[in-house]
Amino acid sequence: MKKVELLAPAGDLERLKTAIRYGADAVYIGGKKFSLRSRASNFDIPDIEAGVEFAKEYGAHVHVTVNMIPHEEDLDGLREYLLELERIGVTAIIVASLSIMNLAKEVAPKLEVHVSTQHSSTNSSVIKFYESLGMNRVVLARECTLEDIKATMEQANLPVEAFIHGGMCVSYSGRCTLSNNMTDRDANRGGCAQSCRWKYRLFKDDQPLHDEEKLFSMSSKDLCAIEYVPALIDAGVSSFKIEGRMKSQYYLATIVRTYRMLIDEYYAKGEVSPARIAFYRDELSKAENRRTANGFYAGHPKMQDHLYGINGSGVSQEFIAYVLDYDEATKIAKLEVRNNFAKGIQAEAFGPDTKNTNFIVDMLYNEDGEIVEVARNPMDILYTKIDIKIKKHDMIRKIIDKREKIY
Amino acid sequence: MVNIIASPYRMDDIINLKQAGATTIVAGTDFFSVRSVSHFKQEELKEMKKICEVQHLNLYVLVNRFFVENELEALREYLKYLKAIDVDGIYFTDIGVLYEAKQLGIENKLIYNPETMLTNSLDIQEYLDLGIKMATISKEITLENMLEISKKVRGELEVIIHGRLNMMHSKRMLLTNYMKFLKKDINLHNDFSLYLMEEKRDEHLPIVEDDEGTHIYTGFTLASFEEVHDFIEAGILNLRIESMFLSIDDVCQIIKDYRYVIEHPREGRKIYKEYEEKYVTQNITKGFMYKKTGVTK
Repeated sequence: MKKVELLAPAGDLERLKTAIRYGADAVYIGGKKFSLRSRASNFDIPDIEAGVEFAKEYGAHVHVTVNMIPHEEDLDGLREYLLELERIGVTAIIVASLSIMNLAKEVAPKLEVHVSTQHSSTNSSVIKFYESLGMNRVVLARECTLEDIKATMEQANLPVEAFIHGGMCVSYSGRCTLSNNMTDRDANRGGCAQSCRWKYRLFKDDQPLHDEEKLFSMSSKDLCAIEYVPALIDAGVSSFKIEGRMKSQYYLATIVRTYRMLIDEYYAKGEVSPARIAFYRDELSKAENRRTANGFYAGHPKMQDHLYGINGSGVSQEFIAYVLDYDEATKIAKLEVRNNFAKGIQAEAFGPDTKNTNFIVDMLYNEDGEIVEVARNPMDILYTKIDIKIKKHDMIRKIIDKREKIY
Repeated sequence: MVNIIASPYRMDDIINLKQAGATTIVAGTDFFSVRSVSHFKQEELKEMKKICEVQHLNLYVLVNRFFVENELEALREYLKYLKAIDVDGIYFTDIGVLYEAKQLGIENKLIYNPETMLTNSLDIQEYLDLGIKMATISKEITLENMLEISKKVRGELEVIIHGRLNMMHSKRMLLTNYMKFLKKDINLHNDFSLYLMEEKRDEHLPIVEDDEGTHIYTGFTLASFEEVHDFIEAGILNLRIESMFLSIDDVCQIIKDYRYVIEHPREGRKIYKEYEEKYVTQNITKGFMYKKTGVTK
């Protein structure tokens, strides 16, 4: 049985490298043109090429989102763009527009075409349709339950990709124009303002039904399918997708590494115990910036799967430093500061090959050799002695009592 | 010939719609249809087809839900039934319907209406070239774009010319969940008298929760009296009126007014102004016809 692909998002080249170092089999990125999430689409052709080169070293693949639903004026240069993507060795493009799919098959046949979740594909007849057109993979709608996916996989021939982690559209994907209507920003061309997460008053015949302190909102908790990974593997899903091209390097490293370990454990042992699931859940929570739930995997989302009265998108302060280098002989680590921390605190190192290991932060000093009591400035370079063995590209996080976390 | 498409609420409405100037009626049934103003029994469709034949009307049916795997068998059976009674058109949004219709050789009945997804001529042409009957141009693009699409596309096109437009469909029971959250014992399922107001905005956005999930409609009511002639000149001859939140009398009057404007194009502006003044609470506007959307504020 071919091992399931772990597919991670990347907003820029740095995050692409992080995702691959931390265990992604493939990354998906947005080009500057023809892609949704325009603010997270920073890749021009040379960047994509560099990403492909980097991925090759790890045996990983690069997918490029070409998933906008274009208007008449948006299609200039598309043919040339697809040819470029094929030339530089991109594995697949993720597409929502049927004409872009067919054009890609015609002009750049080496590119796999993956049908975007924007089509809300929820059954095997859809998959058979795209198979008949020669497409290579279908990304399922996030509205499918585990039972729906199992039943679909029994009938479908094409490889199928399913979301396992990250943000959820409250609407069927691609069918929502709240943003267009409320802000003139086109959700299907990369402008979504996430108006669903705003607060609303609810009336019946002009009588209020809402509570002024707890207004109505359509904000979904993020998806976390950790408990469903073994069943989804058994069902025959080919690729597990993590959402979040806008998410940070630290978030990405933590989430990718956790699912990497979980998937590998399941393939090695054939089962994952409840205690191990709890461990993985705790790992994920270290980077969580919005509360999570099961999405549709367990059935229709319930009251507790939604966010009411809170925006829900906070920034985690846990990531304190990136390891730029580590000298095994002297045990001196060269760190790049990310969030405020001081000498003497409890910290945890982790990395692609470094198991979670606790240590106490020793004396810190800067490049001029001056002692630094508190690391205050993000991106400052500091040195410290770390007795446990770590590696370049590892990360350091604060150990936070979960009760302190504010949502 | 200009085809005016509208939905009856009850069987008796068919004659009224015909007299007002409709040439096609749209029927909904339980389970298969979403955002439908009618839920006819399957046997009733057979009777409707007979009435339509006598009245020289087309009968289109809504099969516009998303199907999960264990619902496909019901879809197959229903498509066979629609083939047998020979309906004139089948609206769909799930591409699985296209696949299943092809197996039955009735793809030429299909009308692809994926709401937001048909925004350019190339995509529309691709779908039409698959042998379907018609495609519905998305309502969130400009008039200029719609007319340009029509110039380039070979095949039948439809636009929605009037009514409240759907702008969001969630599979979730958002109102039931919210009431639970507030610990209020109020049943809002299938209640059509609800609306939302964003906390800093004035528009009333109708919201409906039904068995298919939650639907939110625009805070405005689209009216195209001034543009209907442009559509026809550009070759868009299928014009649909969205009946949700209206009465049969409203819909019949609207059809008559469009028929009048089609005969008297110069009167379009006057009729539009009359609607603006007469139906203040409906918030009559021109939707996205002159409003370009983009990716930034």
